Amino acid sequence: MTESPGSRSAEARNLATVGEDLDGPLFSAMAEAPRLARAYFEFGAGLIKSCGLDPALRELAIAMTLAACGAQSMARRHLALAGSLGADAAKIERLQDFEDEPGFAEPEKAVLRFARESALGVSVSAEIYGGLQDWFDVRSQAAIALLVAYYAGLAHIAVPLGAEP
Amino acid sequence: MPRVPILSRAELAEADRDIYDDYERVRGVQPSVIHRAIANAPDILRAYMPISNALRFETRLDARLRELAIVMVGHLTGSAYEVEAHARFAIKAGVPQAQLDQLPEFASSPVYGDRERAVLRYAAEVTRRNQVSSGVLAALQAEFDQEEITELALQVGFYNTVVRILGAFAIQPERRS
Repeated sequence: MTESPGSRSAEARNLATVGEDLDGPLFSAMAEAPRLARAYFEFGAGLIKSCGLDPALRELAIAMTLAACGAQSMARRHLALAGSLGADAAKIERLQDFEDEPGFAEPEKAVLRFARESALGVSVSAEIYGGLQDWFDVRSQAAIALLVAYYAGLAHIAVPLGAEP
Repeated sequence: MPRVPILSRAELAEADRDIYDDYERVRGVQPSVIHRAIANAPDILRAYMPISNALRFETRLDARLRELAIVMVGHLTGSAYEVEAHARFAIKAGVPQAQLDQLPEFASSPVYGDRERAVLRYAAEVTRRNQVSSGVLAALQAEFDQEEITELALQVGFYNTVVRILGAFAIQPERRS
């Protein structure tokens, strides 16, 4: 497929938005289906741009999701992104023990509980979803649900394709 | 009952109604419940539809195999909506009813050929434990080229996204008269 420098740079921007890059193992693993890969990352970039969640919390939720799905190196990259976006070091270090970390506010805990349960269990209990409803409007609930679902799906592509060292 | 409103076209802001119009133009049906739930964040639905359509309409992988893989993801994750919706698509694509009925016994059932079994083993392993054994990969490589395998990986990954959206919003199967 012939690509213009413009489409290549748009692709690079979409990948960077979701925490990946053109030379990274995930994009390389998807290279045999370039149109689908492009559409997949456009979805992710659109999701990130319009998610509306605090960027540091967004990256912590992504890291939680990826770790729960076994994509540990991707999770580490998003933890680093969370740090660059202002997440406290204690939150990054204690993400997996967030329930006991006093630095996390209740809305943050509600997001992380949801992310972990959705990633691991697929279905989400009324109690956990109710935590989102307590703190976020319907639009934000939908955005958080899609964010977590997207990265769980991405982990289910990256790990089996060998893009998760 | 779904946890978010299931929005009709009239309930969308006027500037967002083109999403449903495009949906009907591309798919020939009205938006389904999951898409009307995502429409609570219309900009996200706008970003979602191109990959959803591409995976449905723009792949080389045999539609029968694609639908079998998707039904397997739904079956293993307890997503009744996904199973019902894609069992209909599977039948339409030409999947025999017996292949849908025997999914729980796909490893030993004689109703599947080598290609179906290779696809189902991949979908099952990825969905159950997000790992693929070398035997499963070898079976795929014996039957499919690398583009088809990549397409399958994207289908299975994407539908692991879809079942989580359904699970978050507690969306149940659409009843049809």
